[in-house]
Amino acid sequence: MVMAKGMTGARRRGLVGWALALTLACLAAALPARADIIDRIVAVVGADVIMLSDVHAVTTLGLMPDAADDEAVIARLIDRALVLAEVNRFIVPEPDVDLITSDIADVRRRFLTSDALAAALETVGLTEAGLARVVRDNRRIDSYLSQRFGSTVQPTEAELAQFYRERAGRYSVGAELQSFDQVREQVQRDLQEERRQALIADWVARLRERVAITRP
Amino acid sequence: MVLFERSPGAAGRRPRGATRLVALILTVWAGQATPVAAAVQDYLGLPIVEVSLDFGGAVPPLGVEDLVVTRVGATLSMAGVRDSIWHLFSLARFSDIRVDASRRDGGVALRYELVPVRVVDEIAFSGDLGVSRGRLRDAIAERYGDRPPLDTMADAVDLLDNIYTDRGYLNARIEVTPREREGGLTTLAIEVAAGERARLAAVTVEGPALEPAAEVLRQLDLRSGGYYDREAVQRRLAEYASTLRDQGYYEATLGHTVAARGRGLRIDLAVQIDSGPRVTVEFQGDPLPGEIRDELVPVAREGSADEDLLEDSSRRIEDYLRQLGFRRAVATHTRASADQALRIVYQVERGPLVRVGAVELEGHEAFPRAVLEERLGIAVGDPFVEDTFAAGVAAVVAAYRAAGYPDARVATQVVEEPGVSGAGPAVRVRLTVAEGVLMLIGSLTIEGAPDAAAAALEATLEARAGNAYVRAVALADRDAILGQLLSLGYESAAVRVDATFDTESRRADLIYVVESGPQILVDHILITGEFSVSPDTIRRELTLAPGQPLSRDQIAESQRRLSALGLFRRIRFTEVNHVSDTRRDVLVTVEEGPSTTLSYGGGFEAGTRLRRSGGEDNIAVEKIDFAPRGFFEIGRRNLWGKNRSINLFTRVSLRPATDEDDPDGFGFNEYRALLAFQEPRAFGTAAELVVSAFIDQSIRSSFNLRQRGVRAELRRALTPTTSVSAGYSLNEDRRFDEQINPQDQALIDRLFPGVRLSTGSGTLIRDSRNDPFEPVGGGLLSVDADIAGRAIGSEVGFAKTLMQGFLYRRVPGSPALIFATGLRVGLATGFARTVIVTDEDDRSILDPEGQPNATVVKDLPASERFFAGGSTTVRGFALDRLGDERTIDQDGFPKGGNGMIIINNELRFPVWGGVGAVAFLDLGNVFTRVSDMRLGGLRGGAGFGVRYQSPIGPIRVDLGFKLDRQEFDNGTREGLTALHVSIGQAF
Repeated sequence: MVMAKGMTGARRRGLVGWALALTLACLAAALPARADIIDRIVAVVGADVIMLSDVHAVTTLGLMPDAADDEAVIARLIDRALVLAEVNRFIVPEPDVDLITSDIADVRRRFLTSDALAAALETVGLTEAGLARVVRDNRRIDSYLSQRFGSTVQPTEAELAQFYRERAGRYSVGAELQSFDQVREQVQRDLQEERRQALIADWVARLRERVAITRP
Repeated sequence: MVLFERSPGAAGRRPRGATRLVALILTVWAGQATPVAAAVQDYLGLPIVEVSLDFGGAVPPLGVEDLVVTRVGATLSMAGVRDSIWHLFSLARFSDIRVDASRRDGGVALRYELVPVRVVDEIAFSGDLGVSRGRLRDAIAERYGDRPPLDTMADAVDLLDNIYTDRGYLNARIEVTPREREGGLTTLAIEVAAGERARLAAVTVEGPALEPAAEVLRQLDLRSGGYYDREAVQRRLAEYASTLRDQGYYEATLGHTVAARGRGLRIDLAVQIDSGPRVTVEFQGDPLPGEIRDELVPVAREGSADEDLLEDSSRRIEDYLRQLGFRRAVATHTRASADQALRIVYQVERGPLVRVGAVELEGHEAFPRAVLEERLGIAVGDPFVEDTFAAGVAAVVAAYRAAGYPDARVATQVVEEPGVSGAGPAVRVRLTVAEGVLMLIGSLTIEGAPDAAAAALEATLEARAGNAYVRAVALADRDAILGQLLSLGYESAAVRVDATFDTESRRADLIYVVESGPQILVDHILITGEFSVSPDTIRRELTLAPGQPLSRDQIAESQRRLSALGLFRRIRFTEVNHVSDTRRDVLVTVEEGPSTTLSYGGGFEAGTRLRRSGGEDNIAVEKIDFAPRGFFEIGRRNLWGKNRSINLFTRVSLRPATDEDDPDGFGFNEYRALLAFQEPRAFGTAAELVVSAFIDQSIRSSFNLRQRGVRAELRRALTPTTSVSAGYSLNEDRRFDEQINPQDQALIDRLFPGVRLSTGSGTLIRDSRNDPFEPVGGGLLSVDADIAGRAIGSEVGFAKTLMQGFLYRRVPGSPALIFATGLRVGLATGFARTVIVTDEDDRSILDPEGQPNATVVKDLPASERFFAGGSTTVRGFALDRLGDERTIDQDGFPKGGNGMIIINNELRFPVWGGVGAVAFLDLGNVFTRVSDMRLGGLRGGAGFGVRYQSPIGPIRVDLGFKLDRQEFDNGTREGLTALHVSIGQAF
């Protein structure tokens, strides 16, 4: 009787399923088409703005290969904007054209063809001239930092020795640790570079305090 | 689909059709609900079918759509999207901008989501503030500006906390809460619980003070139990340091530290004093004038006895003495410290005074000796100064170069010889000139110029073929070419001038080599910072336009024009380069000034006033009046965002009573109230409309006058120096306190003591003066014409014109001397009108036949007639007192006339510092009728004056002497002189 009067449980479930599906289909049709965010502001640094497409440009073109993720890229771009604003306040020697060409060639090598590079640039809203501006500014920043933080105080022998001891792994060839005398010049360069980077980091931190930075 | 293949729920069982459909829909739905920042490639190259801007309910800025460069119909490019975001961001109106893309109708629909910046335009304080609202408000405005975006005020609490801490409120609690209102505006609610103000507990003095601690603290007004105020403490410390420096402790340093205790209710304050040594400076050896010692050794002024400063001082002493001719002067110094004292001793040995014994010149042909001697600037007998001699030699070389001798050289020889017969040593200087060859310009070429600019560049050249070659002119031409290129947007342009010389043909060929670089064009013009001024008002003043060259000149001109509006505190033009190397956006950032302006002031004025002498003579005499006066002005600018303005100006001065019996009382009050509405670019034209209404009561020489009226005027600048205006005025003038003898009074004045004047007017002005207040070049020409007629509502009719011309020139050969001259001619005629003569009771006077006595008047009312004499016309005469027996009444009061001529000549020259002097000769007269005007009837005044450039303008004192004194009908004779004191030049 029951069977004759109605449907089986399975069929009833099937009908309910179709009804649900149709309802959802109607709802879906009523919704607007899918929208993708293709660009947006990710940070404002003083009067400068960093966009999502800037972040994509960095990752697509491999301009910051050691940045772990988009957040790291944004942090680096904020620092770059701070430093570039300082650089633009001073007269910095114009970088050598050969250096800019060489940097652009490095980017080009990451793509199989010129068309692939052009397509990549297009997706991030850049042209080759725009890319040249980016690498030129990078060079100007390097030049400024070299001028400002190029010379650090000569480390003492004790400081070199301590640096060598604390980073012994860096001066090993295979399992064998090279003697201090063998790597002394390398140790000195590394220590000075580390100090220079610390100075730059401290300076950038102070720039961050001085300039309004907002993340929408 | 992929989702299900990997879904654990799918294990061992194939999903049914309905389930698959549900899953598919859910997938699509999920995709709609959470947009992802990806798939840019999916949209690139598709045609844009829709662009929408979502302002989040805020009012969109005017013209914002034009800043979006991704237009419907174009294909989508990320460069366009980035460009649009930049433009929108530059407006500083949005804190976030997102661009969504979705597929639609085979293309892409773009939606710009713009999150408006929340602007804080109101601050509401509440609670127990402890510190004045004004102080807090000023600190916030100083730090963040008048209308800061909310997201820039994150550290407002810290700012306020510092203020409270500095005032001793160490336990203040501050809460800042933004309250959003309509239109993107925000009120910042600041609630303060200031708490109890800490009092000073222990107050101590540290360091080697010169006085006992108690005395130091007394002078600093610091005592236990008092309140702490950081600013006040610092100010008093600075004052104390100043007193120490006055005593010779130039290196004194003071500071203070505080430490809180007792739960922030007590403060221990320690003053640190290091008075340093007492510095004395002595001079030994040859004397130096006392008044310049501090200038040469500025230890006191600099507050330092640093060794570098002392060495510089030694050099300054030597230089000073060498400038006087002591060419072997030596100054050394020693310093000795003992018992908190530093003694600095300068030993000055100036040596003998060396004079010029002889000047020998040889090898010169192009210039006579006299010319070169004048250039050299030294003469036999002068003290010999090395610097002066070197400058003179350079001037000789420059003279040759300017005359076309590019290779001219001058060799010098200076031989010092001992003096004879008691005279000091002298030098014999010899100049040997090698003139070289006179070079003429053969050809001028500009190479590498952009084709479009070539003609303009050639037009800038001053040098001409056939002229003498002058390197300075060639360099000036190079700079002019560069300036022209910069104004055309070639910002990286470089120009050099190469000259090749052929000494045989004496020909110099000049090539201007241009490296223009790319021309920079304006992409967009973005305006930001305005909130009540309409962007259209700003845009109208910009002489830059999208697509045109980015010209430095046009930026400067635009900035000048915006400044001239008077609406902005600051205006900044920034070039934004984010798209292309050759196109730039120009960001115009303005900071609006206050819309309401208020000014007031007061003081005393002194001036001469004509009065009757009383007694039997009862003639006109000049008396000096001192009257207090004040003014008040209030204005509202930028009405309706269109740079319209309205101003109310009021002024009053309390004149002493004319009643001799009441010399201390105030009788006649002068006043003026003027309400003016001003609209630049009225009716959509370049003309400015000024509509004004006024009431005025003033003293004239022969009567007092009360006026009220309205006036409308339309002004337009035709060129930067030429302007025209046309106007209409309706006045009601009423004269009273008439001084003119009734027997001499004009009929019109008797018939119309009060008169309504309806007047149309026109003015043409050409002003090419280089400075309107102190012109030293250019001139001013103006023609005013007025016509009043009964047909347009006037009770009397007349036509009147005043033509003026002034010219200012430097005297050739003496550039410090300025010659100024001027001519003013006034012509007027009344229109005839028949009037019925009435008696004092306004009843018609009948003729013998019993008919009303009618007469014809054809004069101008007294308020419209010309008067002359005074500080700005003919300075030998007091105000309005220039005339003859026909324009001066029998008692000496001026009646005015229908014709006037004034001629001024003045020689202005500097005397010392801001003081100058003038000598002048003025001519002029007032004539009853135009037909009476003749040059032979002019009267003269000559004299001299002194000018002082004060902060409020040039103060002027002139003493004029009449060249021909006349007697009045009553037998009295005019005074010889007239003294004038006023502000500003005479003309």
